[in-house]
Parts: sequence; structure tokens; C-alpha cells
Amino acid sequence: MEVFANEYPDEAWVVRAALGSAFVALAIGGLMGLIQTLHRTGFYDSLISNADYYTVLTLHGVAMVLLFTIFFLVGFFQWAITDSLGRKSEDIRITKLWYGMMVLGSAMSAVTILGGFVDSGSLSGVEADVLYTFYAPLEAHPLYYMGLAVFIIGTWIAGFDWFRSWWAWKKENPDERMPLRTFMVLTTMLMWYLASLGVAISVVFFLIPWSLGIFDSVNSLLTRTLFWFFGHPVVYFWLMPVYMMWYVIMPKLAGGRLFSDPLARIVFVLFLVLSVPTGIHHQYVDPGIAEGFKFLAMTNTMFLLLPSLLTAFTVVASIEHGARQRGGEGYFGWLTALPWGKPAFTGMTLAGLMFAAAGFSGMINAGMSINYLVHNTLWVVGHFHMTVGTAVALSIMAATYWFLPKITGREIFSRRLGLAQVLLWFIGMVLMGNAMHRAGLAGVPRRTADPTYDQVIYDGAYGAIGELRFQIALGGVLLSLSLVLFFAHLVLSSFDIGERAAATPDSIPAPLSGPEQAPKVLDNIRLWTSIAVVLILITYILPLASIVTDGGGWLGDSYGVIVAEYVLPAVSSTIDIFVGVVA
Amino acid sequence: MNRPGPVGIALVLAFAVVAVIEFRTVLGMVGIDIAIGPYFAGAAILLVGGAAALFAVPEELTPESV
Amino acid sequence: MEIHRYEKLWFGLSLLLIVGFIGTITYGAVGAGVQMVSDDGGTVEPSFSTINENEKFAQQEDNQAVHVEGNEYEVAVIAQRFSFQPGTGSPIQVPEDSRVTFYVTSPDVIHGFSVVGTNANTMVIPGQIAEITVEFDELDSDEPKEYGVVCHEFCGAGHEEMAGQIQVVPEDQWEGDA
Ligand code: HEM
Ligand SMILES: [Cu+2]
Ligand SMILES: [Cu+2]
Repeated sequence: MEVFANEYPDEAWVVRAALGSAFVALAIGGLMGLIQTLHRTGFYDSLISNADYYTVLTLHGVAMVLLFTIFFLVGFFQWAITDSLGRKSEDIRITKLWYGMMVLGSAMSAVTILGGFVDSGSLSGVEADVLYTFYAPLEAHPLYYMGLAVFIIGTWIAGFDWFRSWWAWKKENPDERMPLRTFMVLTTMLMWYLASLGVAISVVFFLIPWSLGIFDSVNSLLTRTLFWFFGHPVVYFWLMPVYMMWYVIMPKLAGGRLFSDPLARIVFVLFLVLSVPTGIHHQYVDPGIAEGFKFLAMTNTMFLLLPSLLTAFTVVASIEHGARQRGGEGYFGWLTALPWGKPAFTGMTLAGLMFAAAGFSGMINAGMSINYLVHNTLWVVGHFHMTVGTAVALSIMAATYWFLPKITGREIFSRRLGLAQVLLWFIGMVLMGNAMHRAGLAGVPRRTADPTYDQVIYDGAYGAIGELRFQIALGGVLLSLSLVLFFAHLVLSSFDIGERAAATPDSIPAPLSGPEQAPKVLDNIRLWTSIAVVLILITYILPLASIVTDGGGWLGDSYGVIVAEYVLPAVSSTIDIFVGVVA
Repeated sequence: MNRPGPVGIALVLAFAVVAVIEFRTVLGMVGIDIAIGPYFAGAAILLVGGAAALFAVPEELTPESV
Repeated sequence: MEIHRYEKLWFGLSLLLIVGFIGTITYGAVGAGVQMVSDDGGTVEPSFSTINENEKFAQQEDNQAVHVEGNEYEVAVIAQRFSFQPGTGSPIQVPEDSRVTFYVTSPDVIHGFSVVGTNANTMVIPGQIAEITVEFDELDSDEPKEYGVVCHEFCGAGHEEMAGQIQVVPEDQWEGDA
């Protein structure tokens, strides 16, 4: 088979463009990250004022977890669809349209965030110091919310574009199973449609009209709950492309093949079904939500551990198989037969290792009673820098060493440099992540420009606070160095230095147990989507109803008015219909 | 088992750097304080060793994209 | 569908782990009586005048816990940009060996109320009254003991200044009603 870039030049252009946008966001986010670590640990806090810290933090959050991750996802998924179905985009103009919308939306939001640095001139008053969670009634410029909406609609069209490719393929190949990568893309997008509905409703119906002055108030708990309706499943949106890499690319790099295609499908179905009805676990310590609803969300969350535990098994088994194909022997001896010299493999393995470690702190976060100890402390920041900040970000960077030749047609510049980069990220993150966890246990809060208070003495349970601060700053600096190496690598690879054509054949080996072993029902994505919808209704209808009825109405302005009169009948008739359908 | 190659050494040293730095904190917990200067000099030497090992990694094995 | 023996074993162990987690937490809630923040605190319109008319907030005249009965006390705290009232300025005073229920609400934006290094921790959301109950043990000396309280949710430029204190007062020095 030809290299992707030569076979599908138009699609490869979009993939390159999306990756380019992702890496611009990563560069901006990384610079902000460096400023934050040095500022809040007190090592260098004269660059920005405390007030500007929150502008920096907003930019870091938005650039990293909304732009970097999602731009990479759309590029990678475009490749996965085109390559696995073996067909061009149905209409490349649509493909370019959604990419263009995502860029436009990002630019709109970015302008408002950057406005936070400017105190005079035409941008004064244009601000969005609301962090990436934009909890109302903290208010941003309307353009901030509109940009987000445009960006999300762009992703919706992208999903539609990929479904269209699949429908067209299906017509021509009525008897064939859905290719694994297509299956992963489509289930992920269905999950995304359900999840992003929450934030879309919050932004379009409440926040935009309110920031434009059409409404005077918002129901703070309602918009917050709608945000987390989206905010938990979005982490799987970050993670799913990475799972695809771990399932599809890693076994191949290890010299083998995926252990089981059916199990991979089961895992993605579980994510589709369980991702959304868990968001309330971010609100364990919120008033206004009854304990029972929190418990329900926790149960779903715990079951959501299952697909990740299954993934750990399948991926390690596939890699071991690969190692044994390469002559590896013994209980642990096979580990030495793995291709550690490849930055793509080593980087993804280290990322997976760190994900396993972060899984444990995640289990702690998920337990609703123990969560009280760590909620909104630096512990949480440590946790998600090891998950999205490493399992996802490091896998993306590592996979790029493998992926870049496919979409440019040329080999990367240097594997040594690649190895140095992934190792440095790993070292930096162990230091920063681990110290953040421990500082969190001592009670150091997150999201603050300066966590020292006259009234507070932290009792470092494990290590003195000064030492933890030092470790956080050191880790942050090493991470930034690693980013510098990464970007240097990208730049060097795009010049003529060391130019070599990408190797062929360019193909993914078939799994050990193929799709023919997977029951047909697994591909019935309609069924799985319906189950997901039902679970969402069960977990969300009642809490949302009580937030609206007891918490001051849709806009938080009608305390004492019996909103129940018009909301409750609607809810109870929905439940009646639902019970009718089930019974 | 084979003798570890340069990549293996770099990997092991990467883990060692982390272990060494964390170990100081653990010692601090049980009341043994080590001066930070010489300690970090040690960690830095490990880091440099790892980097040196990387330079011995051959560039031309198989292309990255396969 | 063929499922490998080891896959089945792994699957079984994973399920066991999950059920175990849910079990321990259920035990914590039902058996050991660990309480969550819930909707028990009720709601109030987020403005100073209405908050001050609320029963719990009206009875909070100074920085001392209000006695209910036995060793039970109540404290109502308004979290606002960028202070706790009471708490910032002069510490909230509670007697040792007591069970104190805190009612916390906000007239402006979302804040946090976290007693540093403990699991007394709640979000403070405009419109909602957060209710948490904290047990303070007997002191080991006759010196008062202080706990730091921080706002752990970003609430605007100045957020890093928002903190307060709780002071646990020995019984013989307690000046509030008992
Ligand atoms: C150079 C590497 C990085 C450094 C030094 C860094 C540093 C930090 C620090 C110190 C904070 C905490 C700020 C606070 O709570 O006051 C933070 C927050 C955060 N970081 Fe990073 N980070 C890095 C990379 C990443 C990556 C790769 C991601 C995700 C892909 C990420 C996602 C986030 C998010 C979502 C937050 C929370 C923002 C908020 O609370 O609103 N970071 N980062
Ligand atoms: Cu979550
Ligand atoms: Cu605050």
C-alpha cells in the first residue's frame, strides 16, 4: 500500500492542518504551564500579576484540553476513517468546512481570553477570565461563549462527515463487518453528540443570552451541572484516540498484532453507554444535589473502570505477543525484546504506565466520601496531569513520531531526539504529578495564584511543603524542556535535513481474534446509543428537575415562585412515557 | 538475558533519576535530612548519563513509520 | 465469541474490585454514617438582604458558634468576594468537643469552603445553602487550636486572598452560650 499522504493528498492536508492547530495550542498552553508552575510556587512571580495569573490559567486550560486534544482528535480520526474504509472524503469541501469552523471558533474565544491581558485600548473590557469551566455567574465576553459554540458545531459536522463515509462504504460493502477503526470513531462520536448536548444547551440557551444582557441572571447550579454533564465524558473524548493508538499502533510497533478485536469493540461500547451518566461525580461536594443522585453517579463511575481495566489487559497481552514474536522469552524477559529504541513505542508505553498509576488516584477521586479530602486541591491537578497531561498528551506526541511520516510522506528527523523528549516528559511528570498529589493531601488548593495564606499552615503529610513546591517547579521546567525538544523536532523534520521518504508498506496487521469472532450485536450502535440515552435520563432528569424547581427556576430568579407547577408535570409525563416503553 | 543496550541504560537511568529525587523526600519523612545541593548534583549526573546513553542509540534501525 | 481463559479471569477480578469499592463506600455511608453534602441545606435567593433574613443567617450575630442543644452548635457563613463572614478578620469560634453544623452560602459567585487538611469541604453556590457537620475533638492542651479555611474555587481577581480561620476554644475559655 502507498503512504497515506500520497494516496489521499486532500485528506492528508486536512489531517496536517488539524495537527498543526493542535500543536500551536500545545505550544501556547505549555508556555502558560511554565509560567504557572513558577508563579504559584513562588520561584518566579514577577513576570505577571496575581490578577493576570487567572488569564494565564484560562488560556492554559482552554488551549490544552479543548484545543490541543480535540484538534488532534479530529485529524487522527480523519486519518482513521479514510484509511480504514479505504475511501476518500465524500465531499472534501465539507471536511474543510468543519476544520475551518473549528479554527474560527478557537480564534473567537482566544481573542477574548487574550483581552484579559490588555487593560486599555480597544480590547479593554473584552475578557474571559473564567477558566475553561466558565462557572456562571463569573462572566466572560459573549464572544467567548460563541466561539465555543462554533467550535463544537464544527466537531458535530466532522462526526457527520465520518458517518457519511461509513454509510457510503456500507452501501458498497453490504456484507462486511465495520472496520475496527471506523467502529472506534463512530462510537466515540455518538458519545460526543450526547455529551456535548449538555454544554451546548448551557451555552446557547443560558450563557450567551445572559452575557448579551437579554437575561439578568442564571441558575448557577444548573449551568454548572450542565457543564459537568459534558465535562466528564469529554475526558473520554480526549482518551479515545489514545485508546485507538494503544489498540492499533502499539501492538504493531511491538512486532505483533492486536490480541482481540471483539474485546476492543466491547470496550468502546462500554464507553458509549457509561460515559455521560457520571458527570455528577464532579459535584460530590455541591449543595443542592441529593445524596442518592451522587451515589448513582458514583456507581456508574466505578463500572466505568471496567473498560479501562480490560484495555490494560488487552494492550499488555498484545505487546507481550509482539515481544514473543521477536524472540522474547521468560516471565519478564520478553520485556527486553520490545523495540525500546523507537520513541513512538517507548513514549506510548511510558504514557500507559503513568495512566495506570493515575488510575489509582482516580479511584480515590471517584469514591464519594474520600473525595472530600481531595476535592479542588492540587491532588486533582496532579491526577489530571498524569491522565490527560501524560496518558493523552505524551501518547499524542509519541504517536506523532510514527504518524508524521504517514501524513507528510517523509521520515522524522531523529529517533534519539524523540527518545530524549519522551523520557524527559516522563521524568518531569513523575516529579510534578507526584508532588502535586502530596501537596493536595496537605490541603493546598488548586486554581490560585498564591497558595500561601496568613491564616493557614499546611501540614505536609509526606514531605515538607517547601520541598513539594520545589519538586513541582522542577517538574514543570523539565516538562517545558521536553516540549521545546518536541517542537524542535517538528521543525527539523519539516526542513530538508535528513529527508527520507516514509517507508512502505503502510498497513495495520489483522488482530489475533478477528471481527468474525465478535457477535454482530456489537455493531448495532443504535441499540447502544438508546441504552446510553436511557441511562442518562435515569441519572439526570430528577436532579435537573430539582435544581430547577427548588433552586430558583431556569434563570435563578424565581425563588418563592412555584416553578414546580410547570416543570414537574413535564418530568412526570416523561417518566410515564419511559415506563410505558420499558413495561 | 542480553546485555542492556544504550536504550536500556537510558530508560533505567530515567527511572533512577525519579527514584533518587523522591527518595530524599521519603528520607525527610523519617527524619533524615540530606543537604539539597550534593543530592541534586547526584540526580543531575544520572540525567547526564541518560542523555549520553541516548547518543549511542543508532539512528538507522528501521524507519519509524513501519 | 471466543474469550481467552486469562481474559475471563481478569474480567472477574475487575468486577470484584469494582463491587468491592462500591461496597466499602456504601458501608461508609450506611454503617459508619459518613455524611455527604446534599440538598438538605435548602435554597435562598442570592442577595444580602434575603440571606440575612434567612433563619440560620439571622441568628449569626458575631463570630461565635450558636448553641443548639447538648454539644451541638451552628455557624452560618457568608462567602463573598473575597472574604468569609465570619471567619476572615476574626476567626470563627467553636468550643472543643462539639458537633458544629456550618451553613454556607454566597451572594455573588461560586466559592469553596475548605477546612485545610481535613475532609470538611464544600462548594458554595449562589442560591444554595451548603450544610456540613464537623466534629471537633477535645483539645489536648488548654491552648486554643486553629484551623485554616480557604476558598478553593476561583472567584475572581483577589481569589488568592480569600481565607479565614476556625478557632477551637477550650471549654473553660468559651464565652459563647453553652
Ligand atoms: C509544560 C507542561 C505543563 C505544565 C508545567 C503545567 C502546569 C500546570 C499547573 C501548575 C497547573 C495548576 C494551576 C492552578 O491550579 O493554579 C495546571 C493546570 C492545568 N493543566 Fe497543566 N501543565 C502542563 C501541561 C498540561 C497538559 C499537557 C495538559 C492537558 C493536555 C494540561 C492541562 C491542565 C488543566 C486542564 C489544568 C486546570 C486548569 C484549571 O484549573 O482551570 N496541562 N497546569
Ligand atoms: Cu469525571
Ligand atoms: Cu475564591
